[in-house]
Amino acid sequence: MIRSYKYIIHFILLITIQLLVVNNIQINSYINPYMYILFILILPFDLSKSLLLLIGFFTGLSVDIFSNTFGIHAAATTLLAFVRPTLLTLISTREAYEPGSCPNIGMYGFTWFVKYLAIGTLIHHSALFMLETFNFDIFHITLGKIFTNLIASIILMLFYYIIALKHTKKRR
Amino acid sequence: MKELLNIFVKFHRAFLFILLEILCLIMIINNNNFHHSVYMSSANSICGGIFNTTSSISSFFKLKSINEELLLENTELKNQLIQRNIENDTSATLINNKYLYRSAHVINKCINKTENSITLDKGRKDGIKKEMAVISNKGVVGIISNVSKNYSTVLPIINQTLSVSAKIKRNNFYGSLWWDGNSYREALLKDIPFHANIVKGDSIITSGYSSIFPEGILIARVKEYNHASGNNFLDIKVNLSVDYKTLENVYIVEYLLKEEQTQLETSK
Repeated sequence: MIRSYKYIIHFILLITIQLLVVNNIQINSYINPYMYILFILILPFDLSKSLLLLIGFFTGLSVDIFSNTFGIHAAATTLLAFVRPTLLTLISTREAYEPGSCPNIGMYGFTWFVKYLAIGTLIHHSALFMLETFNFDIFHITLGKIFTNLIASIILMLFYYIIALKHTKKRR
Repeated sequence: MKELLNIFVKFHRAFLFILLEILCLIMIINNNNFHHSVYMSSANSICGGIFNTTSSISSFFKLKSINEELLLENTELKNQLIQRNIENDTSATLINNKYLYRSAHVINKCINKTENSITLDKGRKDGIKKEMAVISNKGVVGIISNVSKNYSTVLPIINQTLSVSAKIKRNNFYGSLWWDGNSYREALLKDIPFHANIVKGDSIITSGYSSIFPEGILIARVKEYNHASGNNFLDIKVNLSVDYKTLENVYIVEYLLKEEQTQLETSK
């Protein structure tokens, strides 16, 4: 119960930061990072996969509602939530993830965590920007957007992780 | 049924995923104007493309019959028009139509020689006689030269044995149009006096003196002219209005009062 309480706080924090701060970062209309997906990525391993899907959907939907882009973020986050379990098994370094824990640097290493973030964000951003442009004619521009935002998002997420999450993990 | 349920339970995550994504897409398309318009336009372009292709294919096969119908209708209308004109013309003492139009198709043509000819798909059976006029919607084509039961041949303007009585529409100077045997798009207009005022592009129409062609049908337009010294007449080069290479449908014009006229003219 305490754990879910903690995640709700993270959810609210991440969405608020995304909407109030990060959405206002627009360099050259090219870089517009999305860091709220960290919430989906840091959910615990043993969470039910269906519940994960629903959480992904509603996370995206809440961003959509506030940024007037109905369905675009929801579609991308649902996809991310859908592939997350597969992604975790693909990049696992050990035999199994410790049940009850969540993806973190302390237990699995910085490299693993960045790899995990990068692949997850890539999947999310690819879906998101393709849906946003909805057009394959300017695919090279979309591709550029995906990669610049990928880097920006990862940096932001790492910042957030180090500031807000790393210590709480240690305390637990 | 149980197995179906099992499958559903087994893949419930995938089903949920697909369901949610479909929900997202529905939201995207319904709520975002841009996506809505793109979706609609692409749907339209697909549908439109398919519709266009099918209709163009089917219309290609219908083309022939449609052409036939149009031609028939045109003939009808032309005949009606002439009748109407005669009715309105108070000075005309004619009660009957002066001209009768019949539509015909070009089935063979030879336009590369000096003795050119065109074959039509109407013959004696359809009431075609020698020396009837042949025109198209663009202008004068020629004169019927030979008639068989089902076919007739046309002596076109681009045949050196034919010369057509023609006049300049603007000032009514009249002369005769004759083909010099060079280009199938060009001919010469002779017997126009040198004091006639001519401008490039002047329309040359049938004079109506020949008792073959109705008056006022376009033959050609003036391309260039010059006046050789010591000559009383201008040398005028004209562009023929009919393109014989693309000629498909023609009208055969019968001058119904021809016999009366020739009888009167030849009587002493």
